[in-house]
Amino acid sequence: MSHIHIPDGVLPLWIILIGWVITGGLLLVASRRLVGEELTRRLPLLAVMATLMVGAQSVVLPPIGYHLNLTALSGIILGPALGIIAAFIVNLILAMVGHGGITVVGLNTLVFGAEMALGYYLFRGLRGALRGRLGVGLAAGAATLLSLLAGTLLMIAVVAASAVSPGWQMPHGPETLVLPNPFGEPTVIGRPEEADRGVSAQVQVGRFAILVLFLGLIGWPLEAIVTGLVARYLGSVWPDLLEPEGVQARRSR
Amino acid sequence: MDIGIIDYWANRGDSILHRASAPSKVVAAALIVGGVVMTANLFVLLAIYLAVAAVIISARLPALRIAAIAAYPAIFALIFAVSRWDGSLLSPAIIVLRSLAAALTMLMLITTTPYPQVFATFHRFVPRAVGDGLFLTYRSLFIILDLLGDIWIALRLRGGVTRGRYVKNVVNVSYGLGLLALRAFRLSQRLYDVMRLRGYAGRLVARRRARKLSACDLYPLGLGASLAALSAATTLWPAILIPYVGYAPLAALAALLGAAACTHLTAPRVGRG
Repeated sequence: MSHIHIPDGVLPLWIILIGWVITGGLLLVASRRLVGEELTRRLPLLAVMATLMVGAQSVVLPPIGYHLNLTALSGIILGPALGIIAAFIVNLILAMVGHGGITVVGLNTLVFGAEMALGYYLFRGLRGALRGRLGVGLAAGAATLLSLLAGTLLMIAVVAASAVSPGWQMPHGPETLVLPNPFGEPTVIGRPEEADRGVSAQVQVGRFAILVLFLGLIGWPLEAIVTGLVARYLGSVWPDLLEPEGVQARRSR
Repeated sequence: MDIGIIDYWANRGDSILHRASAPSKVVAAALIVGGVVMTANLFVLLAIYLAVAAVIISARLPALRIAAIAAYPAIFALIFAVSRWDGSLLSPAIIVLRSLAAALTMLMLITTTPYPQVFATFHRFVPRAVGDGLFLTYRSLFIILDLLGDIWIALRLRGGVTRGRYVKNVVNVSYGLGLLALRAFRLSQRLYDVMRLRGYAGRLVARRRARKLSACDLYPLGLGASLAALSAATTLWPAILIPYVGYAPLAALAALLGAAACTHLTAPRVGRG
């Protein structure tokens, strides 16, 4: 899979709340840029890009659950401000159908939003160096690869931060499990000594990083190739979509 | 994952849960998910999972198919579980069951409540662009999913996706996605024209239901409160309650079997199977 959706119940409460606060702030800032005619004009494009992302992520390849994201492509088209709004909408809809955690929509939105923003800026930067129709595809592919890597590193950083202080009750170690027996002595399973001490099984960040990066190395090149080909197709049929007219004019001089 | 069939189940059902108001179901889902993430007791998590499954069955929905959709987060949870491996099966089981129970709860909400009603519940509390974006995304979803289906059929009929030609398949699928993106952009332009024509003034208005609590609302609220209370009580007073909490999944299993028996003996289920 090209990136992991954080599920419910694996991160402490404090980091989840921080994720929501930062996401809420970014949404407010981004929304203030969209008022009046600008809102009417850009909202439909935001909606269809969010729809494309939801559609792409709802097509899952068993058994590893791999799916395309189209986050970088959407970031290239929407830009960072609209991108964070689209990221939130996509994560909320996906969380409602069980694809990613509902409590961690804030954190998942930040990861998506980072990929979209990086995809936008990297594409603009690389496009300056790579000209022609082939350059559009190469720039989009490279931007996708790098933005997905950055998004995954951000998620690893979040998990690493959570391991520093696992927090109040979430998650905490398995309590003693008691199988009741109405006719005699109950059977005790689990580890009472750890339950008494409140030990929580912390994430081994190194192990987590290796797993996630290994899975990503399978998915990122594929997503980069697909995004590059899509961008090359769009660049030849509808160049304005990926690059505003002013940028094209400057490049052709 | 078929978003279209989820929407169909939500709109066509006629159970008590379908008739309950969206805010009561959203509150119930929030309580249950809160209970799921609060507890680290496997029996409590199992009880919550089975109780939610029983409610889905009682709403005459295809529970096995919904449970299969809700199983997807287990893949991500397994990664976290492996990273947290401490030599015991208990920790991974708790991590996976938490994600499964939370996902099943959200699916219980979304298969009994149409998306616009869920969005309308918190439309007032989010910025305009976010709220209106949610509605327009929902509106576009089915159009674009239909387009995706048509493009996929066209690709297969014209030999764009064939066995053994992996490189060519990737190229053709990518161009198909590009075509989908083009059609999506044209759709966005039409949406813009329609919105201007209909006098869009920066806020889509969601239809609101009556605010009074009805008898149907007590069902999800009671479920949410009792499951959250079970989780909270076993977390706050483990020494007193843990010897007895093993009965909770048994009670939930009995409720599930009872719901299955009742629905099997009465009317046919909603949905295409």
